[in-house]
Amino acid sequence: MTHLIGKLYDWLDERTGIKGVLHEVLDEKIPGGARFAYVLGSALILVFGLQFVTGMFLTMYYVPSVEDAHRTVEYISKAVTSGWLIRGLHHYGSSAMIILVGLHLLQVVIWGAYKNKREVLWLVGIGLMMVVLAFSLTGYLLPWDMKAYFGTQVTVNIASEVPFLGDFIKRVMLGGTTLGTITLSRFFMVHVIILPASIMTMIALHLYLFRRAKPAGPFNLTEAAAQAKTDTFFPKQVFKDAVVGLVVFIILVVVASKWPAPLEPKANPADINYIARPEWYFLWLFQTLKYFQGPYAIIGSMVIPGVVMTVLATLPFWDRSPERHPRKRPKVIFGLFGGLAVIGILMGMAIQEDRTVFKDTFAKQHAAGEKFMAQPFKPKETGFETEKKAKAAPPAIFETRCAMCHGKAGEGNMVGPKLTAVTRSKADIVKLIENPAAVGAAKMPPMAGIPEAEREKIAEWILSLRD
Amino acid sequence: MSDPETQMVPNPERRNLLIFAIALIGAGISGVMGYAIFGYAVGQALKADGTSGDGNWIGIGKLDDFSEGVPTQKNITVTTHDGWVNHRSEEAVWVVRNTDKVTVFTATCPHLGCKVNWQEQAAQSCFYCPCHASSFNVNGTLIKGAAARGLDTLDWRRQADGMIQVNFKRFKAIVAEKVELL
Ligand code: FES
Repeated sequence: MTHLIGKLYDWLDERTGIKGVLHEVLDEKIPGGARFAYVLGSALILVFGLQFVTGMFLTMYYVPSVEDAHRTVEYISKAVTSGWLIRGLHHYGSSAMIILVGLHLLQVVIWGAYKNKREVLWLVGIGLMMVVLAFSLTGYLLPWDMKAYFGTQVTVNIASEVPFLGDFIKRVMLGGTTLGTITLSRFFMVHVIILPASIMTMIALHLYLFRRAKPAGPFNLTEAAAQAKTDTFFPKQVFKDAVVGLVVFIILVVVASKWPAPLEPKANPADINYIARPEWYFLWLFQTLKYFQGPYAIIGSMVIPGVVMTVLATLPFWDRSPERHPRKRPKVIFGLFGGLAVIGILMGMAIQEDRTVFKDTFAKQHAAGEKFMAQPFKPKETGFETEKKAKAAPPAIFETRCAMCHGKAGEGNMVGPKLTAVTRSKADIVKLIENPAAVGAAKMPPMAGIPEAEREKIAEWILSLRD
Repeated sequence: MSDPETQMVPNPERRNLLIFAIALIGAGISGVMGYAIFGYAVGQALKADGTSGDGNWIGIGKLDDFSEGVPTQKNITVTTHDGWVNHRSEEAVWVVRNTDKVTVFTATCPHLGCKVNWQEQAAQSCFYCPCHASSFNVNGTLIKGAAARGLDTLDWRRQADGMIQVNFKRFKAIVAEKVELL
């Protein structure tokens, strides 16, 4: 048996070079040995994989239009087998992505792992972070519930604050002048086609550059010491990655089961009481907006996030010393934790203000969402108009004076044409019944003695037959 | 932070244990996801959708609307429970009067689901399916062709006011027995 598998493996290797590929992938040297500290990248790949798979299957039922988006999300959550789990994993998975990206970034900064010719690797990482944020912004709109609508309204208007190009950007994002079905379509397309394609390309690039630059290893060992004690990636590091992956997966499943992914009532642009809030990870930016008013608004919405991003993106270009130990890099470490503290405080203030000032409104909004989720799913009714039309009976006088030539339901017969697609106006028909020749229908004999009121009824009924 | 057991070549027993654990975790996560997705994509399709069933009685007219021994086409509006929509659409049935009774056939060919039409012919008038040339006589019995059974009849009943109602259903294609689709 083993012999056979070995032979099959050799056969496959001759044709695919799989041994070399696996060696390349699995036998990478981990300087300083396998550690739990190195699991974050793998955990990100796992959660991204989950987002990818659950996202794919969500599109099996989701319809990106204002008419149907909300109902199809509701259908997935309430009526489809395991739908609550697939959507729940996708919903909470997006937060997990943000948390893991944050931790990964934090670790790379603390460990000084961006140093020593790793600028491009770092930049691709920053790009990946922005793609993850773009995923969350575009995905936020798709359920088309209250918070999706109002949250995106705010996002789009922030984008319109860009000097000179703002209106243009806003219009392109919306696909027109209003937040509607066209907006939903393009957010959907970006979310499920462009961003996945970009992120996969960038992940591949990130991994390639990482393998090329080699793992940085522990910051407290000299290179020689780290190289003296290495593990291969497989199986020791993979095992640690798998354990952490399992923990993350279990957390996601438990959270999705305990707190089913929320869905509020369908977006109602006329609701003047609704208070929109972004996802928790944007709250600090949201809080910043409050401090800059009028012409200074742009400082909160553009300048500050822009500066933070630029400083972060250029980190390996201005922190150039080879020193990696965090104790010996006080500027970067203080900057990092200072920034985190500010973000934390802003976030706390945003939450605190909402808990006090808008307590009642949020309680109401929350209750409305819970109530909506508790209601059973009601399918949309379509095609009922046709039936109503067919049921309307013709006026009594039609049966005695017209039906012999035009059919009982106006369907027509050998003598008279069908009346189900008449394009004349009502006044025209009223005239025609009494004096067909006068309106160019000389083939039909005049129907004398039908009072005008009756002729009007007949005309209305005939016009009701059109679809 | 450093792991005292770390060494260049882990002993093979420990190595195998790690590989086993990795495989187990991988299988666990894939298993949960596979199970959920199977229910989501496949199980959902196997659920009875409530479209068929006995609640679905639809009026088709009175006895005098139908002629003796000659099929009359009747379009009825049926409600289909189609995922997140309840859709109302037309379906065709054939009605043949037989003194004070009627026989109602679905117009769907029991072979592969094309629609059968009534053809008046000097020799033998028949229901004819243009797809694979199945023909059925006025009683719905298969004369010849690719179908494995005759036309499917629908249950009907007469209301107090004389209105005849049919219970619209759909049936499995191809097979020789008439099997309701639920
Ligand atoms: S579908 Fe009618 S004969 Fe094939």
